[in-house]
Amino acid sequence: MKKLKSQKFSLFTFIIMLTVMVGCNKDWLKPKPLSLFTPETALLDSRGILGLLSFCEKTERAEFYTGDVSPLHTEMLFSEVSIQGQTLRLGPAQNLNLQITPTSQLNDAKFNMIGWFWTQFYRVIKTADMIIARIDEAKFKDETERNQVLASAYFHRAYCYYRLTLQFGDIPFIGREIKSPRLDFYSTNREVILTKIKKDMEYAVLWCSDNVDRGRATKGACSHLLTEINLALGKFDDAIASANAVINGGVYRLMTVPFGVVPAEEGNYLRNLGIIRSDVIARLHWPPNKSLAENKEVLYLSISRDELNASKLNTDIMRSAVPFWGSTSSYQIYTPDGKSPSMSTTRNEEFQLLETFGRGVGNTRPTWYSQKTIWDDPNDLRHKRGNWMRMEDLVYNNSKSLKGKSVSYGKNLQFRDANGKVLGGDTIMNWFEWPHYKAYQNSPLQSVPTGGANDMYIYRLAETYLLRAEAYWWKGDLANTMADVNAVRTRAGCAPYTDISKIDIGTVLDERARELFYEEPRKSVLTRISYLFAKTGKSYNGKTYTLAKFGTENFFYDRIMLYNDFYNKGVINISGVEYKISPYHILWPIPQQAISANVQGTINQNFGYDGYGRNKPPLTAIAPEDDN
Amino acid sequence: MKSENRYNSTTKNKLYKFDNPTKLPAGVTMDQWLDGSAGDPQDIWLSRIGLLSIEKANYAAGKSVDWADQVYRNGLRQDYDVSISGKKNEVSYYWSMGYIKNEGIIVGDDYSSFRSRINLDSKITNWLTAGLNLQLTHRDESGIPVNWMDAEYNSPWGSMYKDDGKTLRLNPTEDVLNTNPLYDGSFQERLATYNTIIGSAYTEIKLPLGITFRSTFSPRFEFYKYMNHQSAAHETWALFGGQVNRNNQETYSWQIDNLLKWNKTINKIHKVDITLLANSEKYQSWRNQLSIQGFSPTDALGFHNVAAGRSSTGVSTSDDQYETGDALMARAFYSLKDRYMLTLSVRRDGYSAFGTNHPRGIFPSAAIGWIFTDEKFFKNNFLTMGKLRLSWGENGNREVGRYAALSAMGLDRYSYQTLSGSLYENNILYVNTMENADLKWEKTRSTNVGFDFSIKNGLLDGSIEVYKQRTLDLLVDRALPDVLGVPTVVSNLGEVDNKGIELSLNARIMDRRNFKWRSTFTFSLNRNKIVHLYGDMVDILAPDGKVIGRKEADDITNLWFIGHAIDEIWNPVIQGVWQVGEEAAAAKQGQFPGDFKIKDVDNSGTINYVDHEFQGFKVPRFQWHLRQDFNLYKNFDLSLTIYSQWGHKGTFNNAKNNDRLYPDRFNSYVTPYWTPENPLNEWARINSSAGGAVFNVYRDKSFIRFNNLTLTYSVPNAILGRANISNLRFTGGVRNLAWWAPHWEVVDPEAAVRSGNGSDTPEPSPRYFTFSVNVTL
Repeated sequence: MKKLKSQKFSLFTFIIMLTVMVGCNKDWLKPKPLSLFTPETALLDSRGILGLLSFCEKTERAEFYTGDVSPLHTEMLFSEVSIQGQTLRLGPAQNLNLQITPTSQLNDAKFNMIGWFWTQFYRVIKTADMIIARIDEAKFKDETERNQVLASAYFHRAYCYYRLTLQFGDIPFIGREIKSPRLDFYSTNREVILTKIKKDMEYAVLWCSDNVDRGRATKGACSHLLTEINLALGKFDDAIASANAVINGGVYRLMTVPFGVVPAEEGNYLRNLGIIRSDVIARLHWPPNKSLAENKEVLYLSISRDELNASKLNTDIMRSAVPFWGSTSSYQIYTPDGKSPSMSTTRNEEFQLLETFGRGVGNTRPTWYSQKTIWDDPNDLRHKRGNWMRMEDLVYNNSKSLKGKSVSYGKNLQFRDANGKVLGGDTIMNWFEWPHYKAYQNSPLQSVPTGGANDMYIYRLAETYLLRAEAYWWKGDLANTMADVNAVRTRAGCAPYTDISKIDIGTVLDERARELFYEEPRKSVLTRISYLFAKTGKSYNGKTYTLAKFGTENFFYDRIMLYNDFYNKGVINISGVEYKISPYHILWPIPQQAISANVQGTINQNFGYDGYGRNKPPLTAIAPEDDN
Repeated sequence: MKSENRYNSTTKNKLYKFDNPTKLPAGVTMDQWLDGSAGDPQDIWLSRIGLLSIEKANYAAGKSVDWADQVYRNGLRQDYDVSISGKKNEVSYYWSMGYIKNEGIIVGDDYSSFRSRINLDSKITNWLTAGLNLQLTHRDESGIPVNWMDAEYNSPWGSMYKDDGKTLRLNPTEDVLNTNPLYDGSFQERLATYNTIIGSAYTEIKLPLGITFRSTFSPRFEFYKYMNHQSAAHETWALFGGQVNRNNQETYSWQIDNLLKWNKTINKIHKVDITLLANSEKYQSWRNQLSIQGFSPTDALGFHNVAAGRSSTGVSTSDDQYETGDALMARAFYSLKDRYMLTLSVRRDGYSAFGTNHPRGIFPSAAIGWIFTDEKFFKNNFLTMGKLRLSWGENGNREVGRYAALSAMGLDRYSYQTLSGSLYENNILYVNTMENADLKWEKTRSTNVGFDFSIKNGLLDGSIEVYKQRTLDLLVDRALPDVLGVPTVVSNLGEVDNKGIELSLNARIMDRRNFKWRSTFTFSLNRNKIVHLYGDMVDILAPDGKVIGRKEADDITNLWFIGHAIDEIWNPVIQGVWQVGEEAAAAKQGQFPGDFKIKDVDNSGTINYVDHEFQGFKVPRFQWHLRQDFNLYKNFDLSLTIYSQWGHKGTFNNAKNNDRLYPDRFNSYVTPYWTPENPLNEWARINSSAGGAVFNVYRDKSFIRFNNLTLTYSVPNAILGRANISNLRFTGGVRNLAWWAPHWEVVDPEAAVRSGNGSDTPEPSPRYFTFSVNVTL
């Protein structure tokens, strides 16, 4: 008993001592983020700053990836090249008049991704602003490294502001690091922002390098972006000069001869037909060839690989851009003798359609314009059978329901039966032509291949040519316009254009549609051109435009109504939704969240949307503290 | 059943095409029905309603699967407890051991735990006592529940197995959207355990002048282990060669309380009681996570050998956390003649999450009490005890993330390839949250008035409490304009007022020899109102845009409005369903008959914030709870409880009948739906359209639940005495017997809701039957 006593007593004194010690320590309540970086601990040298740069690159990548509809697809459906083809459910942006409002669901792949651009690009801007603000606090190897990093930060900030000004018009410009809550933002005139980022990019092209790893923005990419900004500002000579820096700089050239490996789908369907896709176009777009050092056409590439587990992202382009030929809905493809299901999306069929094309869901539904109208040369490699697929090139392949039961098994698909009845089920979602050479990507980790972790082009030299072609056209230099379009065309096996009298802005836009489908942000391009029509007073099809009536009469709308056979006909899909668009969609609505939370300032809403009446005149200068 | 009932101009004239060809409506010929199709009419019909090959074959063969039977079960729950306690000399002890084995109603949802508790108290000298309390627990959560939500979506004509009759089929109909609910679980192995040690050691010392000092040290250890293997035999997981996750976390936290007490009675009528407390606490945890894929030569060793995984797929992460807190408190109590009472207290709390600028908050309180029935002038035989209480005080709340006030940077990876072709990843940094160094304690200031009473010495006891609370500096995620690049910042929101009343009654209704009946009733009601938010002033605009005043800005993103309750619903107003004949008006909204008709307040043709209205509350307006205890013939005890929550609303988007993403590819519960022949106003057509509107359907969730019925039989002592048993009880009971919810049509109004495939799916709520035996020796 005696021993027990003394033990207890020492425990007691120990506890009292501990409390006294703790109570005396001044730092007792200091937060300790053991596993969390804060700007104070992480951004001390170039490695931390480069981590911020990687965030910008990764965020920009996501536009081209993920989900049934990538953000890029939202750009495409506000144009003449594509509509949203998902007809089996409600929500996808089809009746834009109803579905695109400031309070609509704007950041969800089941609806549209307008809000993705708004929030994600502003996150990149915030991150770039942090780099710019801290560039002289962090330690760099030398002045050159510092300037390169600063130039890259300018690139990413300008990349986002350029796009945002074309998507949303006048928007808040933030050029400083903001560390505490602020609710007093005002919109800045878009040309003021463009002028500011032009200046930044003129610095960036001096310091960025072409000798950087794939995944980083090259000096060529900087000049490419500067060309776009120059064009948007109507500074056509500057645009030609900055495009020349890329085209004539000696580093980049269009790939005119086959290179890299020969594309080979996982499935045997095309190979059994004797189709080998070994031409330059097929190889240029074969994902493993995109990052090769010998590929001299790539300016800015996004990287995603299955072997890099922590950073990979699936493109899902095979779901989005391929028709829902294997429809499992009640709108299936029937055989001419009335059988269904006629198409099988299981693996290891005799005709391996799943492994050769993927199981599309038809979201990125091309219009008649991009399927038919623009194809004017029978030798165009981009439209060659094998690279380009038509439904009639597929066969009824469902062995379980057809083999031995239907004469149609293994026969090519037919759009109509002998009585003229349409067999395609839902002809919006299930039945269209598609660019197999861009849509197909190996997806070894997916049982239903959807386009796995693969690289995607963000900037490619062919587009730089077409930007320069556009600049020449605005200047009235049709010969050079034609020459630049021809450079892109002839590489794809087409005959060059020779009749200069037929060269128009449409020539450039058609070539863009042929060359850059599922690469270019089509709505941004149309908006840029529309601003220039309004600014220059040039005529299109005999019509001229003004900035005063920008929201009601513009090139964007007229071009879409001319060529988009869904919006111009008011097509109604099987869910009863009518395809509709209006001139004011030339600018997207500012998401209401930004306006509502910004209670001490005014972020302007665009014409045509609720809240436009509460606008204040946009700022016409960059505030000195934002001018970094 | 899959259903095809789109009401629109393209198909409505031929809706009979979807009718069973053997039961065609009057006036429709087979040729019309065939509509050019050739072949077996049944096959054509099944194709038209979207059945796939497997479904057609099973339909023809009369085979079907009841998926609900495959995922739900009657679970057995077992709970065993033994304990001993005693006192020898100066030492008292208690020791218990328990074992629980629970099966949930979802197949595979298994849980077991083993626990033991030891208490030891020892009086060492007459001025020193020490004691120890130790709880050891082992929890096993290795069960892998099947994906019960898939049971609802799957087609009854799908196939559970492949053609061999024993291999599970991943997609029962070969539609990739529908997954066999049993599939994933059957290719997984899991070990998930928690070992917990909770202890508390104290010494108490009696000092001169009636002062006692007690010092308590309470450590807590938790060891968490999670290992999961996804087999490469799984059709999809095979593509990455199986996956193993191994997570470990160790948590160690402790608390020290030093308590000094002094009480004294002076002249028999003055009682003084003084308490002083000094406390400090610390929490630390260390977590390691590892995942790896691509096992070679095989993943047959499950999660036991991660070295067999492909190293490039390995991801290991760690997360260590740390927090500290402290408190000082002083309380003085004084009573005069046990009739007049006064309590004063003040405490100072500290917490490291607020540690940058405002770690500590000070919270005073005061209370007075008066037992007025002890006054001579009030003595009576009816109200035998009556006490009035009045109190005022402040309380602190620190419910906020440990690191909420810091600008935490996220860590991620991005990939690059050098021009010579080698791939690598670079670490990404990005800002996740905005710093708020001024974050501080949330403070609630409340005034309470209470009345405790007893009528006829306990025939009816009760208390009534009325309170008014003002909460200041609420800890909330404040919405920011997203141009800042971070969506929210944790802030102290202005001011919310609460007021309410709580009533509890305890009645001895019958007290006979062989029949006792006691009844307990509680009732509560609370109202809240946002008084201030962040103090940002905005202009009030007249309809013409002219500024006519200033007011504080609402937070529309979080749906917080000055002058309204936090839980108030602000949503477009549903005015029923568009009916046949209203096509033109519906078309203006891009809608059709059968869609919900939304009130266009400003007649603008679009539905937006202007069209939102306040329409009720999400939190019950009042609740009550009633318990009845009966004792019959001394040895039988019957108790039952009923409770109710009333007047609140919840989202009920099932009424839209469009929440299945693809209505013709997902099965769903049978709910009413609109058709031209069944022109409902509360339920929309299948796959109804919202036009351009974003809205929720709300329904009144009021309910009364008969929650518990328990019958206990205590074996009479006369019988037990012979067997040397001091107490033997048998108990049988049922929980969750029934509920009545007049406006909530489909499921349990209290069910937790899970989202999947764009729908709100309520979790099934179990009913428990209990039988227990309790023996005391």
